Amino acid sequence: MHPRFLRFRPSVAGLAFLGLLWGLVLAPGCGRKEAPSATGDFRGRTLRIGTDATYPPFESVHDGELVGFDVELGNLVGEELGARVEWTNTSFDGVFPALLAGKFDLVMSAVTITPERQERLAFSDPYYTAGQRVAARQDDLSITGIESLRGKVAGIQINTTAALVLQKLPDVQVRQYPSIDLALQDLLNGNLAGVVGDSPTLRYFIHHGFQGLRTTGDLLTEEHYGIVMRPDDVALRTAVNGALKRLRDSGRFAALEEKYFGAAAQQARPALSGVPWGSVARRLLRGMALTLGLTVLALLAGLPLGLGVALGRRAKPKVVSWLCGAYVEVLRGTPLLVQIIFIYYALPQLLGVDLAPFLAAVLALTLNSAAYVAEIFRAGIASVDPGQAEAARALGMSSAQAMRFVILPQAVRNVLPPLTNEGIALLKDSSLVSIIGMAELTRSGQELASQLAAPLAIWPLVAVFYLLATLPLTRLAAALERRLQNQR
Amino acid sequence: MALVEVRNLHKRFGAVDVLRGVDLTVQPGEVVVFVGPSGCGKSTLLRCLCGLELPSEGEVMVGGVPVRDDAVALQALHRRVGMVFQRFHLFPHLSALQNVTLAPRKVLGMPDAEAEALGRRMLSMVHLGDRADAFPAQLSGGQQQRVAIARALAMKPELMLFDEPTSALDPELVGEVLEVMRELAREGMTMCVVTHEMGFAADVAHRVLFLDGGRVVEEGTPQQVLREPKQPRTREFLSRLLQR
Repeated sequence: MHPRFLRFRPSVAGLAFLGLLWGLVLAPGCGRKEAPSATGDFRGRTLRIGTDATYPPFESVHDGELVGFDVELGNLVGEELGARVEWTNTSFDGVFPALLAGKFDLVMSAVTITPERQERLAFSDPYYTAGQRVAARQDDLSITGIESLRGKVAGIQINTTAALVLQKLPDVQVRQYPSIDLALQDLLNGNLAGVVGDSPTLRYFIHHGFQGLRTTGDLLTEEHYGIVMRPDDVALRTAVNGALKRLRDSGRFAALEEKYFGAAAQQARPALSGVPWGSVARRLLRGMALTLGLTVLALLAGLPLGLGVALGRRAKPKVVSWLCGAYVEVLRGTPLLVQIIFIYYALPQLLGVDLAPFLAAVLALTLNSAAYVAEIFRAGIASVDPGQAEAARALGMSSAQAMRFVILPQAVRNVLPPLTNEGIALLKDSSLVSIIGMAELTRSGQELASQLAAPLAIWPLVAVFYLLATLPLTRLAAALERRLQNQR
Repeated sequence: MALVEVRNLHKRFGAVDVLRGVDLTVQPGEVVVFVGPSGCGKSTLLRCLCGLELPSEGEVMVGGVPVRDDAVALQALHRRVGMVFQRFHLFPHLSALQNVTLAPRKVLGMPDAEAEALGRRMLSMVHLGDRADAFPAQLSGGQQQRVAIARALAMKPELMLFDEPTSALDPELVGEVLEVMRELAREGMTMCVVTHEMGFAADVAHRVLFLDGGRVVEEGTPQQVLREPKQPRTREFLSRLLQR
């Protein structure tokens, strides 16, 4: 099993929803996109391939370009078929729902062929054999393989096959980490005796950022990577298998393997000399711009929508107030992650509209924040002295005029601080849209941390960029507050 | 024709009977003062006259139009009746002038320049012509209440209601508000006033009503009700008021 197979971090509700979603997109008769060709002739067609480029040496982002073994192999397959290749870099959690929803035709993301996956997905013939292995510190010669971890502490990436390997050795104490680079960092810090992980990836990280570590012992498992397709794309599977066979026959496959995994490559490739701060800062700036853009758009749309919902909850017609109340309860009571997934993957199936990831992200963030904004406005309106509405009525104003000219101007002053809070929370929550492939700030940090094998350098920097992004928001709110206070 | 006609007015809040059959007639130009112990229903009566409360039973007619549960009719009523509250209820986010001009601009659709001229006139009338740009928080209680009076007057009401207008004021600020109200009465404004200021009632009122337990217990000229009360409850109330 591939280490990332079970790497779902959403809540239980999110998992349940994903299950529902899979059932939905697999239901017969759904308006799924046509495969590129039903005839097996892919010349002149475009093959859309999804990948999670945080997994060197198979796929990562380097200077803004997708690179890696899978990427070159995918391009070669496209070349064999005479098709154009279009890559989408997205989070691993979202890669299969997107495939099944017809957002791409293939997934190439170091995906291990497992019986569980074969129930829902179709695989090409295996193209790479990997396995779990032990990593240890260079200076700790007591670790020579899995047996030597007995009575000691070992680290793994959470929910991976490494856990299955270590289950057989109950006297090894296991510590789980959200990603393999963090486990390796703790190993380097001396808190672990070893780390069990995917062999080629361990080698990559050790080569690029963790020179104090080494791999040791035999491969503990044998895992085969395959190219993933929808089960009904039979013609595509035949074509891809044919292309893989031709690439093997012509020797181009072997050349690619040699380039990435050959002894010469391992020796010759120079380790990265430190962190390239300039390009890192540029990537993070781009991520921050996207984060800010998403947040500002979602706030600009969410503020009026939230205000409308807050006013709707006070409306006389029961239907309106009930609907607005239900809106708040549903959007506030379900995880934002699930809402993002629903809007991007399920809505197109249900309504037949296809949303670009950016639009889906803005829509999800808008709808979600509007629910919180509505509650903030509701409290703000309730905090205004009821005598104000009475005085306005006694002057002959309609309730709409009283709201517009007397109540709301005072409510807005009262809610500026909590609205600022909501804006900042939204800015940070916007990182969840990485699941639909938006390379915002957190996602950029993830990609950089794995590409450079330098989590300790990248994550504090990501935090600084978040701080830089929130400062203009808080400054703006403070200035607005001061201006309104001056009128008193 | 009477400006206000109240017949057999009952007002209940849940199980509590606040008004139990009140009859009242107010002629144009009359100043009527309501007195009575706390909880006697005098404020509720006032709020029924301006349509902030609706009768549970009986009838309230203002200018010949019955007060009823109809948003448009109520709005029309509000335009004809000015209300001054115990706690002013000025709009804190607006200057004194804006407080006065808001309703003429938005409700009557008066052009800004005209509304501003009107507002300044109204503020001068309450001797606050020089504080037009001050915000409520920058004004004393007495000044705020005078702005509130100007705000109500700007709608050119036929009837002005005052609900304990000086009760929330420091004693030394009471006089300036009563003075403005005296001037209004002299100019012939029809007024209904709930107050504990017996001096004001004696000087200005044409008629005094003593309410207790949701009913009018005694009614007459200030001389009759305040100096020579016939009802024991009126006498008891007035003697307690004097002992303060």
